[in-house]
Amino acid sequence: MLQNYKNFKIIVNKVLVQSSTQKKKIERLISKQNNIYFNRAEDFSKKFIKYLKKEKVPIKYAVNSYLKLCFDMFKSHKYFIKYNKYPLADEKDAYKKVYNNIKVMKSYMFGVAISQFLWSTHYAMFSFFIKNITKPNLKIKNYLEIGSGHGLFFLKALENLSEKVKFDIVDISSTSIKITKSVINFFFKKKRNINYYKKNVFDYKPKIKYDFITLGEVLEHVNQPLRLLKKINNLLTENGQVYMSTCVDCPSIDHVLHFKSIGEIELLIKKSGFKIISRNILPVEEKPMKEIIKNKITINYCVLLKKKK
Amino acid sequence: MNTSEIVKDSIKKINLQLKKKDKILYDKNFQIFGPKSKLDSLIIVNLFIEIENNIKKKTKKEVNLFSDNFFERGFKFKYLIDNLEKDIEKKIKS
Repeated sequence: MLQNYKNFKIIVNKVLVQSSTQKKKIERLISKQNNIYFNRAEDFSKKFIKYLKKEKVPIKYAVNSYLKLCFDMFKSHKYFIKYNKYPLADEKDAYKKVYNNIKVMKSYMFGVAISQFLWSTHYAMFSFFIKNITKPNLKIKNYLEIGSGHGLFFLKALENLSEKVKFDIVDISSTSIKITKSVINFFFKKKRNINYYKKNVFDYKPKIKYDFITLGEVLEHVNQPLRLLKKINNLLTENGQVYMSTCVDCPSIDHVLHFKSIGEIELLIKKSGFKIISRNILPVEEKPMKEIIKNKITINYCVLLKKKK
Repeated sequence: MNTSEIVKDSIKKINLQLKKKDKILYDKNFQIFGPKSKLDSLIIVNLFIEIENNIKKKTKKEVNLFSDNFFERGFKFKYLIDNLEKDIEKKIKS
């Protein structure tokens, strides 16, 4: 199957050569995918390889970043199982160790970008986002993304929303903003109204409300999730929608908030004045849910929200 | 203190949770990481934690069998029970 997708094949083969642990997982993932997956993965890989070349970053560095991410997750998971807590407990520590550390953050962003196509749950969340941002009946004037990370979600929003939309990006990490900006400038040549703000979201006080807000993989990085969701609710227009993703039992080098169940997340959603339109619950291992919960295996979660009226 | 005994005991305990086809065989050449490894990351994590707990019980030493340089060795090369036992010995002595 891979031979028809030469750029994706380059990335996959480089990962497989270096990691026997990844080999089985990736081969299992690929064997279950359809043409949409392969076309998206090839499109990403083609752009990504071009981007790396322009930035003078060897593909080997990006692949090693991905493997480093896998190893860090592994290490964090071991810490979590042994001590029953995440390696970090405060967002200030995560800022110091990760978001404000150019070397760590750059590697992390490249790793996560690749994981979007090599981890089944990350791909499922990306697909969920694409499905919701490409709905024909969306009426969006203002789009906000908090924590744009590697920029792939934002790129999809740009590609699919009208040229009249105002796009605002808020991220606490200057490295993340730098990567998003360079990704967007490189791949999206059309003129759009985009503003980047290097800010803590709590210090962001815009004069407008947003019709669509993207909050991907942010909640587990903050000390005050309820305050954050209430803030998002306040930034949303009456008929606006929020794409949000987070996770249960998912230790990582920069996760500080430990959700112990999907119920805990959904209670928070309710408390902050949102209603769930649709959601996707995605355990990272193919095991019965009972076993997933008992063994504290990570569950990814993404959701589309609207205001409770 | 016998390193092999610690590893054997830990494997025995982990095997109680595994299906027959997933059980770990105590063999010096058994691959923890490597092309022939059949262990998933969850089993490896549980095995390492079990071994670390056993070491603590028997030697009162807190060791971490995962270290950053393991990333360079572990993912690119085969990592056998034999390698693990040698690493344990080194860490206990240090």
